[in-house]
Amino acid sequence: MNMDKILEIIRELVPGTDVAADTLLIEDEIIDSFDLVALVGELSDAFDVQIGVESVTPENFETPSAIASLIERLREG
Amino acid sequence: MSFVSLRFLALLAASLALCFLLPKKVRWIALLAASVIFYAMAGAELLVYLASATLSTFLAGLVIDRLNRRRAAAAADAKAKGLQVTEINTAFTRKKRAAAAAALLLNFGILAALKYLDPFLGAVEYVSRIFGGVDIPRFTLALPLGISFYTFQSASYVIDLLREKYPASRNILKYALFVSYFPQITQGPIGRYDRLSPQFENLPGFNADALRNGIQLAVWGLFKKIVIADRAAVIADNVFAGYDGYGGVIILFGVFVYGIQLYCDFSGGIDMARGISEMFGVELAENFRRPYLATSLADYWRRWHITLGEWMREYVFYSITFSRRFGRFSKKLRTNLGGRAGKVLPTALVTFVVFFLIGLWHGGSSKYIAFGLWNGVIITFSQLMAAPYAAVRARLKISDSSKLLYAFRLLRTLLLVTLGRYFTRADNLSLALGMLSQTFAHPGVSALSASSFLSLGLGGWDMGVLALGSAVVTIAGVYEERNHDLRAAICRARPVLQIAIMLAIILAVVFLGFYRSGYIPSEFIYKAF
Repeated sequence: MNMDKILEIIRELVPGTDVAADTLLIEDEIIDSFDLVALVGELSDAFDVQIGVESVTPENFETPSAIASLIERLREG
Repeated sequence: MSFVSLRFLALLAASLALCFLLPKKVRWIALLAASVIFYAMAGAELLVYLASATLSTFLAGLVIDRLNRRRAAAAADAKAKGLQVTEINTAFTRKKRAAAAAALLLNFGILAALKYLDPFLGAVEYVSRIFGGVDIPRFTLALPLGISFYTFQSASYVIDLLREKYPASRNILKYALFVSYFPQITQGPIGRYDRLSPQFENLPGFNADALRNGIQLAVWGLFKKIVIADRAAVIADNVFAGYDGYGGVIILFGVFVYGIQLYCDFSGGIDMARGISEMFGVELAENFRRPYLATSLADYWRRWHITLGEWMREYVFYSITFSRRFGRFSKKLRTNLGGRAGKVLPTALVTFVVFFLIGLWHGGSSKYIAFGLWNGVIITFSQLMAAPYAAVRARLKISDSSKLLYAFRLLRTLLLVTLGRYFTRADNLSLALGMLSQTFAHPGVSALSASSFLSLGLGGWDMGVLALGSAVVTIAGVYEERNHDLRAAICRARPVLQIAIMLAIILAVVFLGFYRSGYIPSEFIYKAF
């Protein structure tokens, strides 16, 4: 469920891109730093979590799967 | 107390000896004692400000840390019962923020009162006079040594605890050492608790390599300060004191030389701080990475006063851009504007705020605000124009790796940085604008001759020393820019060569610095901030 929502947010943010759970978002330059800022805002709102600075790392935003794991961790506290 | 004084040398020697003699567990006490003596010698009454910053942030740290532990326990409990933890996190975050806000407001409030009250009253008086109002009584309070540096340093500790980055300090004396560590309190670099605290806990004692390397770096810093910066100061002081007597080219030259002075003064002071700290076995953060080899103004700010830039990025830029409120604002802009502007503008606006604050960090007068705006406007504009620039380059078939383009970018950045220096060095904003106007309206090229440059207070010999010293620093910078480690290379060199290099720098410091006729050592510029 989380994954579908995450993919939807990314597709809305970067229209015309084909994104799957294992797409390398940063390495393949699907998103840049400006998109990352917007993505953090969208994810915080959509999943009602606080994504702090310390969580915004390349590893946590490497793929949509990594983002889903981050959201899960933040929800679990 | 200046680094360049016999009293400081005596304090350094005594604290080194004490640090080397004491058992490892209590060596940090030697550093704390030296820090308190160093600060007290600058004005014992000003210790009260340092003590209040230390105490307030230490106590706030304990409160936040306790809340962090209670939050983790409550979250673990809720998780075990299969409940959501979002509400628990939100409730604790609110309390933690209140504790952090109290400490930050107190400390930034003191900083603001001491640093910005007078310029603020000046502005009120200016407006009041326009409307025929009364004079506002003015008073200037003594600015405690290093207040901007230790306020930012202790604020980073509080915010890090808020973000649960590490546990709080349980020992106020050890924490006091972090806030007051004497090599860096005068002009930085702005340190971080998680980087410095473990080093204070594990001071290595006597280490011949660390002592030699520290002395080398400190002497190199001294060379930059007294051989180059103090000479460049003569030209800069002359040009800024009476710019209306000079043509635009000479003014621009004077401001460029001021840039040399500022770099060698500030980076020289930082080299001395890092070198002195290295003697004790404590590595301070890097604060400069060859800023005059930057290819854009944004790149320059990643190389100049790095620890201030990192502080602003981590605690202001990220705090704003990753907040939920900003997320909503950003989404609105993206939706309404669309395209690249909608994507870049929200972040560009925060960049602008950061540079406004960097200007304000230097002081409250309008010239510093203009300096911040100058940098903010250019960097924001270049973020917005990055894509059109790239398209123009592609159309003109200019490769991104072109040497000509690289040279153009270097010169363009140097010019933009130099123009920004008009604001920071002139006595006030109106003089800065007058100088800028004179520079471009009356360049005075036809009246230029060699004697024009020799009439700025430095004779031919000193001008030659200034040029040669600047060339040595530039060559060292270019060598390091090509991914070489100059200090490691010197350490690998044959002992004879190492001694020759060290001796050459010491002789230069003594004969081209201390013992030149009419030499009066000046204070470090950034000490005033």
